Order: sequence, then structure tokens, then C-alpha cells
Amino acid sequence: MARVPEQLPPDPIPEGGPGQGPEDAGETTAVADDERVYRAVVDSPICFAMPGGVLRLSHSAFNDPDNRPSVDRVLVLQSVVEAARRRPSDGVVVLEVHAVRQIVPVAQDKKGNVLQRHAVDVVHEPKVDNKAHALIVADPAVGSAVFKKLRESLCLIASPAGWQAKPSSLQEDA
Amino acid sequence: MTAFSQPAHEAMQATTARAHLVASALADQGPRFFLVRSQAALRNLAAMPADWDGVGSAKPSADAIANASARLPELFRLAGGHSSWHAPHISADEAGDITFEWWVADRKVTLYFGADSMLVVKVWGPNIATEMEDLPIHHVSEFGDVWTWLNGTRA
Repeated sequence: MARVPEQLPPDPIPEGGPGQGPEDAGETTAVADDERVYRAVVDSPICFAMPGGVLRLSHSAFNDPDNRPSVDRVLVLQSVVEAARRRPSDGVVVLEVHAVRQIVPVAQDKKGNVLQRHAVDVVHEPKVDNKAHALIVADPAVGSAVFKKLRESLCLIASPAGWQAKPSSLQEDA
Repeated sequence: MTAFSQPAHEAMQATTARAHLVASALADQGPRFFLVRSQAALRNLAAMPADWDGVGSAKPSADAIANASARLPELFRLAGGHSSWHAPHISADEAGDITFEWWVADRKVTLYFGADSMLVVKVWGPNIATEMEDLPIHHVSEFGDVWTWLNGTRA
């Protein structure tokens, strides 16, 4: 079960639902290292497997045409995990922000020599309909070759905690 | 130790014999039987629309699906056939390329198929610089080494 970090006690859920309060409309705030973010995962066998009941996220759980996967800040959602679903059937996984920031994507040549290092960050980018929205970004931006590896890292970071909210197809097993 | 009655023992022997017969019959069919599930998964991908995941991913490429489908029997053979093959997790990326994923203990292989290309990403930890490797596959025969690595018999 997701919980709000102890040093940041939860505020009352704003009218209209988590992340929808007028006080945070359009406001961008820094994402702290000790925060967590939710990632919605499509309820499809394409995006995950459950061998022996253990979650294995496919790289496709972090697909993104711009190489900047969307996530939602747990803090802004007041830990209401269901609010992170893009579709009612979605599953939701969680990532520790500090773990994401520890990923250091590198572009390498064929011999494995490092050509370029990137920094990964989680930046708050609220939307009109989702004040919790944030992006996992790399600086400088990564191309598809490095993004393939970045996705693998994100899967490894998110999988151990398992589902924070199960996708609909697994809910009968709960 | 459990003592079985004679009828129960004979029934077990008959079941074992039937199992051997079934295994033998399946092996005689070659890779087709063992690849049925994977081929069905590829057909399912072909039916996926653009933006199938809600993040704007491309429709899985028909050419990439054809490439992956054509390579399956050879991959199966290079993996050692039905005794050591395990079916891949079949998926697609945002560009419409097709992927096969296998996990074995702490090791993972993601095999990307484009219309006429193959690329492997080997993963043994989250550190991109020291625990991952990507390599283009110029000929499908190179997959044999990847499979050997995945199954832990090569460092």
C-alpha cells in the first residue's frame, strides 16, 4: 500500500479529487529525492508477465515516443493510487525518485567506450487535468539506443515493489 | 514412503507411457508446436492499432512482425530445440519494432526486430554503463551465443 512520506504529512484531499485542487493549478514544484512516483501500466500481456506470481515488467511498460516517460507524483496524488490510472483497467507501479536519478545513461561506441553521459531527472510538469504529472527526462536528451537501456533500468527499479494497484485482469486473483 | 497398490502402480506406468508418447509425438512435429503461442502473440500484435498503449506508440510494424515470425524457427533451433527453449514475452516498442524478452534469474535479454534488422540488449543489472550491453545481430546464428549467456553458461 502506498503511503505519504512521514516528513510530509498528507493534506486533506482537495475538492474534485487528488491533484485537482485550485491551490496547485499549473504550479510547478521541485520533486524531492525522497518522493515516489507512480507509473500507469496498460492492462495487457504485452506490458507485463507474472511468472510464479512475480511481476516482470516488459520494457514496453515505459514506452514513450519522446523518450520522456510520464509519471505521477505520489505526494500530489495524496497516495491515492487509483488516481494514477490513465484508464480504469490500468495497473500502477511505483518508483523511488532517488533511484531514478541514480541511473546514469551512457552512450557507448561498439567497443564499449563511453561517448556521452546523461543525467536523469524527474521533473514536475503539471497538466490542466493532472496536477501530479511529471516526466522522467534525460539531459542531454537520449536517443532511441540509450532509451532502450533506460527503460530496462526503470523496469528493474519498479518491478520489485510489485503492483501498487493491480490491473483489472489480475484483480480476481487478489 | 508411500506404498502403491498394484492397480495404482499399473495406472501410473500407463500414464508415464502415455506422457512419453505425447512428448515423442510433439517432438516429431518439430518447432511448429512449440512456437504456436509465439506466432499467435505476433498475430495479436498485428491487430493492435496505433497508440495501443495510450502514450502515442506506433502501430506494431507489419514488416517487423514478419521478420520476427520468420526468425522464430531458427531461434528455436539455435536455443537447442524443445528441451531448452522457453517462449519469449512478445511486445512492441514506441517505434513499432517488435521485441522478444526472456528472463533467466538475474539475466534478461531483449531482442528487437525491425523490418530487416535485429538488435539485442543484454541486461544483468540496472547500471547502464556496466550491467547492460547492446549489440546488433547481423546474422541470426549469432543468437546462439546470446542464448548461452542468458542461461548462465557463459560469463
